[in-house]
Amino acid sequence: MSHIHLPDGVLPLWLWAGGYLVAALLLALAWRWGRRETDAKRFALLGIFAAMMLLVMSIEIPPYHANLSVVTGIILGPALAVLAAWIVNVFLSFMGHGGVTVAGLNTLVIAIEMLSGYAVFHLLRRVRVPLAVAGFLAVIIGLGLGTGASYGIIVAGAPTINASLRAPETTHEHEPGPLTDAAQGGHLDLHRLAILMFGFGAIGWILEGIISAAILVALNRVYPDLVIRAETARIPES
Amino acid sequence: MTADDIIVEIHCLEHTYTGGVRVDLCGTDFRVTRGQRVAVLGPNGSGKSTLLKHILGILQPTKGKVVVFGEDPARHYNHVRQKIGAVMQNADEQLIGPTVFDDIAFAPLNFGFSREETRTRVEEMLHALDIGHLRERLPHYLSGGEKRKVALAGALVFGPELLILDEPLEGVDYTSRQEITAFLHKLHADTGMTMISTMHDMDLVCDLADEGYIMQSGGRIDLHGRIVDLFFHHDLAQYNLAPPPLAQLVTRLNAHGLHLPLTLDVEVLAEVLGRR
Amino acid sequence: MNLYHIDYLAVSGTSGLHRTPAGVKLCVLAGVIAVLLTWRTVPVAFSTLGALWLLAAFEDLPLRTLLALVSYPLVFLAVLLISVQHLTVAGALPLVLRVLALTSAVVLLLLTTTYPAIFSALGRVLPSGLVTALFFTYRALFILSGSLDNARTALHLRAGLSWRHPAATLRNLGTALAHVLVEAIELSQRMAENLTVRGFDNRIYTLERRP
Ligand SMILES: Nc1ncnc2c1ncn2[C@@H]1O[C@H](COP(=O)(O)OP(=O)(O)OP(=O)(O)O)[C@@H](O)[C@H]1O
Ligand SMILES: [Mg+2]
Repeated sequence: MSHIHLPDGVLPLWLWAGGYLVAALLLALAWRWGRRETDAKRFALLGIFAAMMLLVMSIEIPPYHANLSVVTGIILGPALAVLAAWIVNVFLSFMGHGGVTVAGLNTLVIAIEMLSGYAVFHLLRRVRVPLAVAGFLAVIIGLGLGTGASYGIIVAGAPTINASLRAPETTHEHEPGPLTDAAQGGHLDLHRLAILMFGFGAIGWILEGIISAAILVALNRVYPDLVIRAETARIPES
Repeated sequence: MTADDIIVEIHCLEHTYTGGVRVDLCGTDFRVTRGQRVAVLGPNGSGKSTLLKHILGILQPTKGKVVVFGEDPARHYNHVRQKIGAVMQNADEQLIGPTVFDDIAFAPLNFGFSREETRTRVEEMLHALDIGHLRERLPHYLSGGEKRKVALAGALVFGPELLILDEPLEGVDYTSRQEITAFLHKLHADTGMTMISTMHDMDLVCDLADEGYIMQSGGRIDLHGRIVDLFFHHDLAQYNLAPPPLAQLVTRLNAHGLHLPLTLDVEVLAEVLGRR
Repeated sequence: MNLYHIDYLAVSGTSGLHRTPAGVKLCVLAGVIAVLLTWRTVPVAFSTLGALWLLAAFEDLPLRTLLALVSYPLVFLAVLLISVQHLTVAGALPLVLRVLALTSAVVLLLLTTTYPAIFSALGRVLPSGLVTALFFTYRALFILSGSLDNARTALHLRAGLSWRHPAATLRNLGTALAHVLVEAIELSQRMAENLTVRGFDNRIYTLERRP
């Protein structure tokens, strides 16, 4: 669970609106950057890989669900991967699985996973690290950074979250004297949150890393070109 | 016959897929003239779809020559694409528009037809194929037969001169099959549209084609002739093909000295036999 | 997967909400979100939630699906609330109600509006390339689901997923997914071919119908 499934109405406006803004810039960049490929091919790859990511997310071995972000990033290359991240999040929002307002932020989180995973895999393969190991490490680092980004977002939103936990009705009453913490309604314990996100997250990263390594190895065996093409950041040709 | 009447000409084509699979389509030259209905027959994996994809300019020949409407389709598909309609082997993958109506309107809008004209043409196609009731349906809630009809409508809506059909009736039930064949029959009778199709069901060949090319496994185009001649004068077993039961029956009966006409038309045969 | 169920409900429904144009519903949704985020009080959240659920009941929408969909984000809110020290009901209530109301508004849109209608409406504000990509993904979800089902069946028939053999399970899952990936790549190739043949011009048009 590296990406945040934060519902709407939790984070402050500046944060989620800012998320949309940065995501829009990134998308515009990715769009121009990916122009090399013929458009029919680009659209087909985008649509089908976004759909595949969504479908794979529905395979659950509770409480874990698979998530092919890093593998997709490796195969699609950075430009298409960013676009795919956006599409996936739009669908998640419109399935009621992610907030509508946080879709921009979630796009950034998944894009970070894909891009860093892609970069790590690329670098490791260049220094001849075996495929499985490179894939595994790319996933661990990619998902770790993604979780870090999610955590950062919540930390940034913490003051607002704390404020909404202090029911506004009580604060409006101008009661004299400082309120006790309990009366205020408590506050987010960032330490506890970090343990939750990174502790449980790490288990997920390892599972995901093993599955992804198996995927890359199998893919390489069945269809040797693919991973090689991914390594040279090109897209399969017909 | 003028040069204008030659619609497709393929000479000694060879294609190597990226995985290294080589399809050799050499042998008899493949030539289709205006108004012809041609069937490409052969075992699974012999290269029928590969041949059609070369006509559609999707694949680039490794060797050999492909000319469609006087152009090299792999280079200048834009010049000829409005003259060619195609229904590919998997119709599901061909439906792109969000609704049936939008899907049929897809190609004409891409080709720059006005919205008004596109609407009129889509309505005509819906009517001609009797699928008006599907107009607002989403592609994934259609049955296999309905998907084929929608794909066919989408291929014909902009008025092509050449229709390419890769196994158009595969997985289609009896009734839809009759409807689609009747439609294609009428289309050919009315417009003289040129058609190139592939299929595995020999019963359908005589409904959809007058001439046939037969491929070996591996790709070589071995035989070419009128469908009737292919079924009555050649041993097709080596191509994994069996002539339709009617042809087999006529051949057997003639071996017993019945001197029946070599026909694949049930009506004709019934009449001849009835008179005796 | 939820998506197929939602899609079916949106396509097959006939309520008044189903017949309301998608653009109108999207604007109302934006309005509801704006209200809930501006006035972050219990009465506003509570009355919005009540109004939305009454509307759902009045329009005969499947309430059980509605509840299931609405509860999903609550699980994740719970994860967040676990990390809150000195959590009180009075503190959590506004947050929970607001999340419920916002999610209900979105879910109401989903249950009564087909995805193509949502995307075409979005097409008025988003660049056409992005909307086209959304349409493709929507189609691909249905074309691909077959091959994913096959992979699942093969897994169950041959190896199965079981935590008793974790290493083998993960490897099998990886191999099965690799097959799905190969299929996805080949499918994307065929889809690109189909697009080229049909003259794809970087966008999918949706035609307004004649009245
Ligand atoms: N995209 C591809 N990449 C690699 N090999 C391919 C590809 N498409 C087809 N082939 C191979 O080329 C050969 C010819 O395939 P093709 O699809 O043209 O046969 P076909 O006659 O249409 O078969 P069918 O009757 O099963 O449709 C086969 O051996 C097939 O495996
Ligand atoms: Mg074929």
